[in-house]
This record gives sequence, C-alpha cells and structure tokens, in this order.
Amino acid sequence: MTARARLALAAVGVAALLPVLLPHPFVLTIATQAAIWALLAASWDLLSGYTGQISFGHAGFFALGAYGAAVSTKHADVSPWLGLLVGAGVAAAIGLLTGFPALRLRGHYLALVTLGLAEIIRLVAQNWLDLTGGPFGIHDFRSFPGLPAGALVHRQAMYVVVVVIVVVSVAIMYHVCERTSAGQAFRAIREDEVLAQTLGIDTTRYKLLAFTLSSGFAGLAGGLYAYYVQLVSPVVAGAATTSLVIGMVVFGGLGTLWGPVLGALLLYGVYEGLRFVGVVYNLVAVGLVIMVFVIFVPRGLAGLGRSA
Amino acid sequence: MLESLLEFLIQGVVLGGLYALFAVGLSLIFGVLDVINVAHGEFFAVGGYLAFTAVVLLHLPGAAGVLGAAVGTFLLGLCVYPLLIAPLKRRLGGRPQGPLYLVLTLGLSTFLQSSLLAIAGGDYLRVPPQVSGILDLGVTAVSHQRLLVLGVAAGMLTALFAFLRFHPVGLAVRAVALNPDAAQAMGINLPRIFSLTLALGVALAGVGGALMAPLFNVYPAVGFPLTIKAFAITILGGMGNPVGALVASFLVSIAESLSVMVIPSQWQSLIAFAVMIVMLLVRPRGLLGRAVSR
Amino acid sequence: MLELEEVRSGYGKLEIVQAASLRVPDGAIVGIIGPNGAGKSTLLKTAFGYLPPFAGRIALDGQAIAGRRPDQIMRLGVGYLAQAGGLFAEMTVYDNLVLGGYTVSRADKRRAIDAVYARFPLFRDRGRQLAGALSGGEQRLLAIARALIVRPRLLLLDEPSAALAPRFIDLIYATLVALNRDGLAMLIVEQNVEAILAVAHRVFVLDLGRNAFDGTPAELRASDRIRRLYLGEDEGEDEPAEEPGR
Repeated sequence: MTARARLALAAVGVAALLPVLLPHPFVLTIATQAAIWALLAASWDLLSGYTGQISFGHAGFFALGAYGAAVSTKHADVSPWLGLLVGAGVAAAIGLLTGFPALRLRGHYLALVTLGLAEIIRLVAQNWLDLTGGPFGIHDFRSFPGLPAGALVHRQAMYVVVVVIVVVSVAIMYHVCERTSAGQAFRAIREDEVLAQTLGIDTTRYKLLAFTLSSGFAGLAGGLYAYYVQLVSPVVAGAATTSLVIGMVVFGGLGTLWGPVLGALLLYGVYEGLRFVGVVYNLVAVGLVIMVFVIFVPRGLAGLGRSA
Repeated sequence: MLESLLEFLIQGVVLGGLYALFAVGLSLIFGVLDVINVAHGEFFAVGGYLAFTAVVLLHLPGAAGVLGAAVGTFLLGLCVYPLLIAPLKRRLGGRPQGPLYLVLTLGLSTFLQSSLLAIAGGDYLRVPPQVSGILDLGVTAVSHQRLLVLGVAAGMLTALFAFLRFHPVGLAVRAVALNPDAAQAMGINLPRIFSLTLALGVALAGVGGALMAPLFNVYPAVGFPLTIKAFAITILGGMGNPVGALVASFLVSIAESLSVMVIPSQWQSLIAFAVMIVMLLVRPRGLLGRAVSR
Repeated sequence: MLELEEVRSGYGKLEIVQAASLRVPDGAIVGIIGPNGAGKSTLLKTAFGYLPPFAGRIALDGQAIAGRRPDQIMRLGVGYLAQAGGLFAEMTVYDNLVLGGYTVSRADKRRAIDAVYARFPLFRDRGRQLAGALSGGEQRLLAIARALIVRPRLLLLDEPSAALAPRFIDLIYATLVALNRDGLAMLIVEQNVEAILAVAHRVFVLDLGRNAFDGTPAELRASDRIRRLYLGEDEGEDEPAEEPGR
C-alpha cells in the first residue's frame, strides 16, 4: 500500500472514531450513512474501476439488498443479522446472472444494460405492491436485536455495527483486489482483455467473480441501509443513487478501493452538509464534481500530486 | 375486440411521435459524436420550463413557448460540446473511452436536473395546452394537443431528414458520422459539426418538452424516464441510425399501447427495457444499425 | 513548399517519431520509405494535423502550421489520402465527389466535378454506385479524383499502392506522375520501394522514428548499405539483411 493510501486510511480511522468519542446524533447519522455509501462505492469500484466493467446499475443491486433484507425480516421474520446475508445473497445472485450477458458487451452497451436492469428493479419495486409495498415502500420491520436501548447509545451502537461490517467488507475486497491472483486478473481484464485471454487468464470466470462480489457487497450495503434507515422505497434504485455512487468513485479515484471510500466519506459529508445551505443545491454540487473530475482530475483524489 | 385494438393502435401511434422526437435526436448525437447523452431528458425538461416561462410568466401565446423552447435548448446544447466533451476528448487524446463520456453526461444530467430543482423548485408546474379540444374518431378520442405533438414531430423530423439528405451541411454531418478523419480531410470543421449536431438533437427534445408540458406537467425530473426508454428505443433501432430510431419509436410505442390489453398498465415500461436487453444480447447493432465495433 | 524540422510526435505518451526532418520542394515528388513501425504514417498524419506534434517545426510555404486542424491545413491547398478507408464507403461516388468540394462554391463545384470526370471518365457513369462497392484500385482512384476537386498544390499520400494489384499500381503511379507534371507536389509514404523510387525526385528513409538517409533514388541505389538495409536486396553470400526494428 502506498504511503498516501496509508495516510488516508489513518485519517479515515481517526475520523471513524470521532462519532464514538463525540456522540452527537447528527454527526452519528451522517457518519453511519457515509460508511454505508463507502461500502457501496467500494463495491462499484471493484467491478468498474478494477475490472473495467462499467456498471450504471448498482442502484439496482443496492435496492435488491435493501428490499431482500427488509422483506425477509418483515414477511418471514428473519433475524436482521441473517437478513443482511439474504439481501447480499439476492443481490449477488442477480449480479452473477447479469454477469453472463455482460461477458459479451463492452463499454457503453454494458453500461446501458446495467442501467436497464436497475430500472427494471425499480419498476418492480414500485409496482409489486404485495411484496415491496409499492411506491411507499416497506417500513415496519425490526432492526438489529440486542443493541442497547437508549436513544443516543443505540445510535452509537448502530454506528459501530455498521462501521465494523463496512471495514471488514472493504478489507476483504481490498485483499481480493490487491493481494490475490483474482485481483491481478481483474486488472489485466481492465487493461486489455484480449491480451489477458492470450495469457491464459480465464476472463469469463473472473468477470463473473467480479460481478458477484461487487453486487453482493452492494447488496450488503443495501441491507445495512434498510436496517439503519428502517424505510426502503423504490427511490433507492433510482438515478440519484447511481449518480452519487459514480460521483463518489470518480471523486475519490477509480481503481484504488480506498479512493472511493475516501471519496464517499467526503462527498457524502459535503452532500449532507450542503443540506444546511439548502437541500436543492447538494446534487448540483455532485453533478459538478462528476463533470469536473472526469475531465480534469481523472484519477480523483487518489491520484492528486502523482505524475500521470 | 377489434375496436380496442384500433383504439390502442391509434394511441400508440400518437405516443410514437413523442418517442421519435426524443430518440432520433439521441441517436443522431451518438452517430455523429459517439457519445450517449444521458442528459437528453434534462433538455426535455428545460423545454417544458421555457414554455412555462413564456406562456405562464410572460403571457405569450403558446406558439412562442414552443419556439422559445426550441431556441433555448438549441443554444444550451451548443455549449455542451465545447465546454464538456471537447476538453475530455483533448485529455483522452483520441482514445475511445465510451463509458467515460457516459459518466460525463451523467454528471451533466445530475447537474441540470438539480439546477432546475434549485432554480424553479420541485413543484409540478401547469402549462395550458397550446391547442384545446378533442378529435373524436369513433373508436377512440384523441386530444388535439396530442395530435399537435404528432404533427410537430412529423414536421420537424421531416425537416431534419431533408436537411441531412439534401443540404450541404447535412451531408457534412452524415460524412462525420461515417468517417470523421476523411471528413476533416474534406475541409469539414469537426468541432462545429459536433456542436451543431448536439444542439439539433437536444432541441428536438426541448420542443417535445414544450409540447408535452400541458400533458406531463413540468418538473425537474420529468425527462429522465423518457431518457432511459429512449436508450432502449435507439438500441432497438440501431444506435447511431436516426431512421432506425424513428422506426423503433413507433414499434415500441405501439407495443406498449397494445400491451395494455394483456398486462397491467404500470408494467408497460418493462417492455422497452426487456426489448433493450434482448437486443443487446442478440443483436447489439439493432434492427438497422451499423456494426458495434466503432 | 513543405518543411518538417526535428518533428517529434506519436500517440498519447508513446513517441513514435523521434526527430524527423524533410523538405518537399515546389512541384516535386518526395518519398518516405523505411521499415514497419518507423513512423512514416505517423509523420504524414502529423504533417496534416491529425496528430499534434510534441516538438518541432512544420511549415507550409514558410507559414507555420504545426498544431492546426486537418480542415484548416486542407484549406491551405493540401490534400490527404489515407492508407485505407479514406472514402465514405456507404455513400455514392457522386456524394464522395461532392464532399470533396465541400469548401468550394456551388458553381465551382459543378465545374470541378466535370473536370474530374474528364480526367477520370470511368466515374462519369457510376455516380450512383456506392463507393464501397468499387474495386480496390477504383477506390484509390476515386480518392485521388476527390482530392483533386479543390485543386490542391500538395498531396500527402499514405501507401497509395497498398493492397493493389500490380496493374493498378502502375495506373495509380502513372496518374500521379501526370498530375505532378501539371505542377502538383507530392509527399508519398510507401512500402513498395520500387514504385516510389521510379518516380520520386527525392527519397527520405525513416528508421525508428529518425532520418536515416535522404537523397535521390539514384543515390539510394548506389549505396550498398542502403540497398541492403532498406531496399530488401541481399548480397549473395552474405546473410539476408535483418531490417533493424523488426
């Protein structure tokens, strides 16, 4: 890991402790949600940044995880701890299925297919009243059992739960991407898929693996979101989610994993902070960030200061 | 039964005009610039807002609203290439990186939509119809407003195709779509053609927005569902082929309309996406499109 | 007429042309030969503005043109014939010619196309045929015909003989020589060394992105070393030449 990555992680670690040391409900809320977004951003980076399969549909996997968790707890009385796995599992399964057609598509066609998939998921969520509660969503399902009951303490405990799960997940993804041959395969596929094949890399297997891992962790983020916010509506599968995720990764730096995490934390902080200025302006900033960074700062924060 | 069929067929044709205005512009932009404009729907919304401004705020006649929408979105569209796409192109140095342009236009879409929200608020704004009244066709009734949409769409698209076919600059646009390097060697100014094409494409959407404002109401996100559907339509017709987009628009709109007979109406949109996914898997170049390799 | 001095260029970060210089005098035919990957096509593209040079000087009639766009350079009287796919294959022969006259006024266009038909009668009756349906040689001729519509003073040609049958190569080069006699200067990149040596006034050899030699065709032929390295002739009992850069 480069020195700057270590530095960034240290800073993030310190920031992570802050909500525990200075428990203010608002700070806890932002920090918890930022952590969930960080997980989602990292999962997107695994697929799109590392493996080069640009997905415009991660909002769909996120939604699958959120709905999977909420529905299983509400309708089948599954414990939320298991519900997380259900959500992640559903998302991963759909992700794997998406991977097959994706094998044959490149570039913007792949992006469009994933976008179409997310829209289908959103439509289903909006219209399948019995299962998903339609446009109003699902809201009466319980959250993690066994957490302390006091208002503030409960939030702190939630925060800790979320952060721990996120950190472990990102660590797993980092390990896979940077320390295993799978990660090398991902990068080879991104750089030059034909070359990777001639070198004997089973691109099919690794692409499917990337899709499954990425969608599974996105679904896990969705599950965490469901149990934290305790309301899942079709909006989560919408364009704002996709824009935010892509904005966070572009801001933080594609293909580094820690860059998107940092980007998510910062951008979400800015996004929520701007809410104070006026709800309406925060997405404007996100749009600007995406455009400016794609053109001028392609490697995001992770690449600042580095020559080319 | 036959009456229902006819009714839905007619409704489908009328809807097709709107889809065509949208999808043809999108396809043209892709064909010439090789960029998928995720922000296309936002120009539709801007058109609606311009019509609202002209008619409700400035008390101008309905036609002025449509004209204002056309001109306004055209001018806005002229800014997109030099400010956004050209700088990215310069940085990429000619290497094709489709998804990055998608991300760029996604950023533009987010920026425009939320800017509209910031400037105008999120309320659904009402715009009076440019024409009122209903045409009674026996099997079904179609509002004059919807017929106006179809009529204007037909007129504008005819003008566009005539321009592309007969006008020297239209020939240049086609040349750039086929072979940009050779087009340059003919003395064609690429940045100018790119800007013009983009502006024309989004202006079509803007006009659509002004005409549909009385029917959809005007709000920042009004265009986005259409954008995604337009992706599906252009892929069906062949990305980069405006004629394909035209044909596909009506195929999709009629299919959607007829489908109401067998599936609940809220699932209508699924058809477009299902078709898109199937096309991408089976025949990515669409019904009439050129090969995907470019 | 055209001067390139110490030009460096390439694609992205990859530098292909490292330091190339050449001159095309008014009305001359100048050839560029060299091994694959030497940067010949890259240099030609740089001269026409498809690629911005990293460094060096490019001047047309003394006017600096480095960094200008191809359509701007074209309007200064320069034509460019690409190695492959220079035509609009999905358009008709006639439309290709009309596009050739894009920068010319309506009246002049008609006259220019008629002049082209006079020189190349085979195209007169094939206006409606798709350019892509023509044979390889006919397509090459059409590209030349199209370039002539604007009456350029200098033509840049990238391997005009590539993938052509021998009789078409002869026809193309005969056409080029005739055009040159009327005063049209040419800079020709060629792999077919014999074809270019037969017609050029001066030849530059490019190797690994740099000048390796330049002189008249006679001078090139006279040098054993050049013959062996670049003209593909071996010297009997010597081992066959390994062209550098392969």
